[in-house]
Amino acid sequence: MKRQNILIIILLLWSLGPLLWQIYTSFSTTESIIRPFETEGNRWTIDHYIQVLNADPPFWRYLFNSFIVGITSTFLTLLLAIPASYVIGNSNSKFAKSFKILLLTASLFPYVLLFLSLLEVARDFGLGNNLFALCIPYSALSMPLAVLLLSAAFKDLPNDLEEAARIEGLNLWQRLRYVLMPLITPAISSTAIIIFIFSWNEYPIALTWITKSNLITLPVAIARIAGSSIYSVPYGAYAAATVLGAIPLILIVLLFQRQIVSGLTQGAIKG
Amino acid sequence: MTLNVINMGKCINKKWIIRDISFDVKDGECLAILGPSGCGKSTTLRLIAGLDKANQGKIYINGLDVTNLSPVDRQVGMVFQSYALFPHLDVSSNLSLGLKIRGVSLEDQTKKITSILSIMQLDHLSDRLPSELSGGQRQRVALARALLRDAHVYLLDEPMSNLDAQLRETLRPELRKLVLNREQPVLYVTHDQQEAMAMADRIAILKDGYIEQIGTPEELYKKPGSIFVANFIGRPQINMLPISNGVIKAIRPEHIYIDNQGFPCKLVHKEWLGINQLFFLDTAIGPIRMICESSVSLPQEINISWDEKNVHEFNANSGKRCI
Amino acid sequence: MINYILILPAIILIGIVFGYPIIRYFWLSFHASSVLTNLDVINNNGANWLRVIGDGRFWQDTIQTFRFASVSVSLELIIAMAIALLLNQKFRARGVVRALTLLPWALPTTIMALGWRWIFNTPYGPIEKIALLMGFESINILSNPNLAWMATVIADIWKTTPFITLILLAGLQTIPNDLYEALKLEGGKSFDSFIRITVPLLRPYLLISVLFRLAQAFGVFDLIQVMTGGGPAGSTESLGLYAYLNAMRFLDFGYSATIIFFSFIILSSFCLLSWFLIRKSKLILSSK
Repeated sequence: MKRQNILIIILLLWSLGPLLWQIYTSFSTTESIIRPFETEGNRWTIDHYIQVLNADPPFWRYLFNSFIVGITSTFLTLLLAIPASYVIGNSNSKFAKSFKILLLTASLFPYVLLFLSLLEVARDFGLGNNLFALCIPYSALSMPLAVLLLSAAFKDLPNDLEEAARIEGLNLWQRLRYVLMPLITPAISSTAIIIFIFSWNEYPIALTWITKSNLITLPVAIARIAGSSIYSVPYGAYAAATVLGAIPLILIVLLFQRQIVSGLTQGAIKG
Repeated sequence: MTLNVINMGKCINKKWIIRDISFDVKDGECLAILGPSGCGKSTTLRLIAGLDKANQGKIYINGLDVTNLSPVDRQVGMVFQSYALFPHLDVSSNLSLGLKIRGVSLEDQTKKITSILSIMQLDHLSDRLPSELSGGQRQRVALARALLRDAHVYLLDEPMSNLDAQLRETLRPELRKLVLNREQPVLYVTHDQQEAMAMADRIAILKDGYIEQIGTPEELYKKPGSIFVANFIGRPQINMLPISNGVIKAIRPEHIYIDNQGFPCKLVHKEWLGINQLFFLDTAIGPIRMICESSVSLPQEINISWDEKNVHEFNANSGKRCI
Repeated sequence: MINYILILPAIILIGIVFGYPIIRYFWLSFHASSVLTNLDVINNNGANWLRVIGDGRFWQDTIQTFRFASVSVSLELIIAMAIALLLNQKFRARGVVRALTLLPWALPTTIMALGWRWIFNTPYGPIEKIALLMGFESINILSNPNLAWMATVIADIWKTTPFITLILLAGLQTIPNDLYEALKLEGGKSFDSFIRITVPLLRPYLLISVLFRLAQAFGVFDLIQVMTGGGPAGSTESLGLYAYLNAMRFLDFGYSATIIFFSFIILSSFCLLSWFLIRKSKLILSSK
């Protein structure tokens, strides 16, 4: 029992350490930031927070942008992944199998290596500086994991249920809407949360596709704060922005921890 | 209302699961499809329901060719072996989903559901989830759902196999009253010969995808068309006597009696069955089973006999009945 | 027919985002497109490919990327397994602990990479301070070619272990408890049950984590760009970063495409090989 508690404390320190250090830094005055662990003098301040929140455009704007990107990407991914997963989960055809292999191969291609070329795509189709356009690469990048999780969940459902629904006269859309999707809700919600967090956090594509400062997403905005001075990184303001930006994610993870784990179990990844 | 099946067949990966299946079911008639597991019973049912497409033959419901229609348009009511109740919906939602989809007005939905719930004695369970019901209650919900379908044919896939033996017997009369006494034809798939004999007007015996014999329970019992049917129908199992001149004779245990002029045999073992008892005898022509009243007590050495009219004769090569 | 219609939108999307760049890179890798050509695309008959084979920096980066990916992924697997076993036990406030453990995965990589750079900072970061307070000499981690790559591995482990933990935890919950009880009745110790039940039954979960993580770690880019910029002395530069520098700094798009395509080939053959090896070891185990 004792040993378990010690292990848990070590685990929490390791997981939270860097974030705690950010919080510590964010409340330290600029003089004391370069003298950590020293307590004398003008130690604590909330100036960094005031600075971040009073900037133009206001900080909540970045939260809003990231939120929009996260929601649209999640929605688009589920819209495409659910029908595709339904087919893959229920069919043994060569077509479905080759699609699965295609997805796995795609997921092996390191996505950061894609963004140079994707920038050309964005330019050719006029997708730059459009928050909604970001959901196109984000959905595609999330597709392999989403299809993997959702098709396993569809596969786990007994065939009888869908057949009973067919006999009852439900067409494909109605079967999905009234019978199948409600039954795989755990897998859908955990997939949705994973996609949302990925889209919220994505950096290289967001950096290159969006240049207008009132449209940039949260990670890009924080990185901009860090890069705003060429001489030294303004760590105080940067840490304050990190802490503020982390709050929604902390809430999501705390609220949905159970759904994330149980959804992965339902869509148990099989071979 | 009628169901006609003509030369129906299903082929998967170049292997015929069932082939040349033909039968007719009249209105109000119950035909049982009986056979060992893997003989194609469920496939037969699924083809008629439209869940799978037949590769061969025709299916008519009410004289209408439904071979290429989807399950919805065939208007069949089906009870699945697992009952297939929607686990996330309570009993009344399980029943109303299909009605809603088929465009029944809300008022009529309520009326129909209230009436079927009271017929099925499920009134007090209407807001339970399937997981909160007993096996018998689930079966009744599944039946209720099938009955609400206004079907032209009812298809029951092993409706009793998930219930324990005692419940099965008490539910038989109920099932007969609720489903089998209707004007629609009923197809009843089972692997239990006793159940088939009890429930069906006629039985089709399926073996390796072909119909081995089709007839009333009495016909199958009295005149089994092949060794396979003779073995399958009637419990305890029929006695097969040794081949002579290419003919196998068979005699049911209940047609053997004690006869001092008969031929001698030795009592090996006995099983107490309640109203009677089953004797295992050792004879010069091999082991024989015999049924006697439960009051009889036998010595070790006895003589038995049977009437020639009760003997069935089969061709040893084809396994078919000799007239 | 309906099956095709249902999958088609997903295929089109993947075709645009994955298919187009891959084909484009392949095509571009046979062309020169740089400041020297005024960014016009000119066929150079495979000169890029000859150049990449003789490019010492490319091969050094390949070795460094392999070092980063293999050390990082194998340590992550071990740590994630330990954490998953711990989090699968019963204790008070387990849900909160699980959630907090997931947190590093949920935070943006780039931002936390900057956080780690601050932690490893010399002379202001906490690691350096603690080392000095304990009487060591200045470690100067991020300026030391022998230590800097380890710092990037630590940051990567911190960031991505939670996701493997999540997958393994989901896997642990699918193992029925009576298997462990049955082994206990046979007199097995807890180590036996780990080796004979937990590991074999988690195999598909381990396999999927290794594949996903290897691919990600092999393409590592933003973490390193932010933490070290590839330095000191190129000792942390990865293939992804090298390709990025070629395109964005040296504006040599043809060569950048060649690096990307070549590393994709190396990576996929490596993934195929490890997938094959794991499959084979499964056969050996099951034939026992």
